[in-house]
Amino acid sequence: MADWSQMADAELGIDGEHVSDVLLSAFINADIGDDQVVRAAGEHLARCDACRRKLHDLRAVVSLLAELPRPEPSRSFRLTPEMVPVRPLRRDPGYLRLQHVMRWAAAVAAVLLLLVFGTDIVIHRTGVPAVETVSTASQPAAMERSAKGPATGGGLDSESYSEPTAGGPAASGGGLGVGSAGAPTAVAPAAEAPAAMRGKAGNVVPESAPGAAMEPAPAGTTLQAPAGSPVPEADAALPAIAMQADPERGERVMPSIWALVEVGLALIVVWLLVISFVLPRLDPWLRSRRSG
Amino acid sequence: MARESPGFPADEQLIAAAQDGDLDAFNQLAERYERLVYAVCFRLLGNAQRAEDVTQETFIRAYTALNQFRGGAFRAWLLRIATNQSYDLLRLERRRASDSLDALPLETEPRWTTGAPVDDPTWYAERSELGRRLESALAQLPDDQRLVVILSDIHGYPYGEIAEIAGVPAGTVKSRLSRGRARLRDVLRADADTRELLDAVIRRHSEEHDG
Repeated sequence: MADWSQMADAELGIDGEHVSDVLLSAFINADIGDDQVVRAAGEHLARCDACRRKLHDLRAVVSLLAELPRPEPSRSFRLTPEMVPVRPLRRDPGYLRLQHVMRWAAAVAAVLLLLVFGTDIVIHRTGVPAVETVSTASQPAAMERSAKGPATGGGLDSESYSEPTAGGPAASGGGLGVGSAGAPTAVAPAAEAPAAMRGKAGNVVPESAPGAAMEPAPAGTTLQAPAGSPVPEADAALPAIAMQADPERGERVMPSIWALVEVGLALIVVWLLVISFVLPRLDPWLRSRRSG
Repeated sequence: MARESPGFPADEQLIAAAQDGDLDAFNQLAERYERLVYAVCFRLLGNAQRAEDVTQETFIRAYTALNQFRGGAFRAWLLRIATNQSYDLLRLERRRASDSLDALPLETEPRWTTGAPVDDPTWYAERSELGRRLESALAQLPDDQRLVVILSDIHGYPYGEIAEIAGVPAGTVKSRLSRGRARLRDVLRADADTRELLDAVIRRHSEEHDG
């Protein structure tokens, strides 16, 4: 609030000048905070006829204004539907308008998260780093390679591992078929022996390995696998696909990036879930708060 | 204005409903405020027909812009729309009037609600006549002063609300009010007949004060 008294100080004459309109107006409204100003104005009014008359005039004007009759409209101003736009007045907030999109986005992000997480586990938690990214589409090819690669490459590629592969249905389930992966791997040691005894992997075709059938791998490595060292948590080992990697390379850097991506995706999923499911439920409450 | 009862929902409730597209709820608000909006528009525009047009337009605008209403005093928000609409119309009319004298607005009289009946007819007649002259003096005020005088002295609004409606600081409201009042007084004093009426009113005032 602006200060009457400040204006008054400036506009109230000290030496014989008249009381200003602003101060007179304030006087009428009894709206002068400063007692000194009130006293000074009062003293001036007591000895100045012109100012006193003006004050009376202004009082009369103000009281007359208050008594002026009210003009009455001759009609109602109710709105009819024709007068106003049909569209809803309040645009729904973004989280309501885009709810469908948000839900789909949440689903996609969740699937992506599972894929990344699954792949991460396959690659890192099993202790077998991979350079080949696994995708459902490339699986048959990968299986071919895992079957043939060692066969042709033979002992030359001594550093490469070829995991026992849960073929067929499990593998085609892609990175998501976590649940179905347990059984094949459990059978792995058993299936391993005959496969290894057959010696060469080349003669095993992918089609011949439905369900729990195992892809044999080069003798040296497959014999180690049942022993347990590279794949101790074989139960976690999912529809593991053929993997080739340099065990040394990337082991240091990769996990942190994977973790970062996973956390990021998880946050995105949570955020999308909140936006698409929680906020709409809170909407009535939010609105009542906003308008209240 | 926000008495809450089943038959008299608070402004906020009606606003919330209207924001969701409930036209009936908005019409309850319109009925609540239409006489006020009309009265302010009439005194700003000095023409009954135009005041009705602007009042109607104000409610249409208010409805379509209701989602921009961010709480606070609905009355002030509504009157701000009405004021801006009136100013726009006044500007338009003045521009037209300067082009052609024929376009000057035709004065139309509204219906009036008169105050309580008085026991002294002469006194009442004098005051009424003075009221009419005051009315025409008011019409001569600059728009910004007129608005403040209307809201403060006719409708009795506090400075804060007037500041909100006029979109100026409260200090500006006060100085406009004092200048408006002084100017009204000067206009009334300028005419001999009116001066007499005014003096009669003042005499009566001081008698009432003394007695």
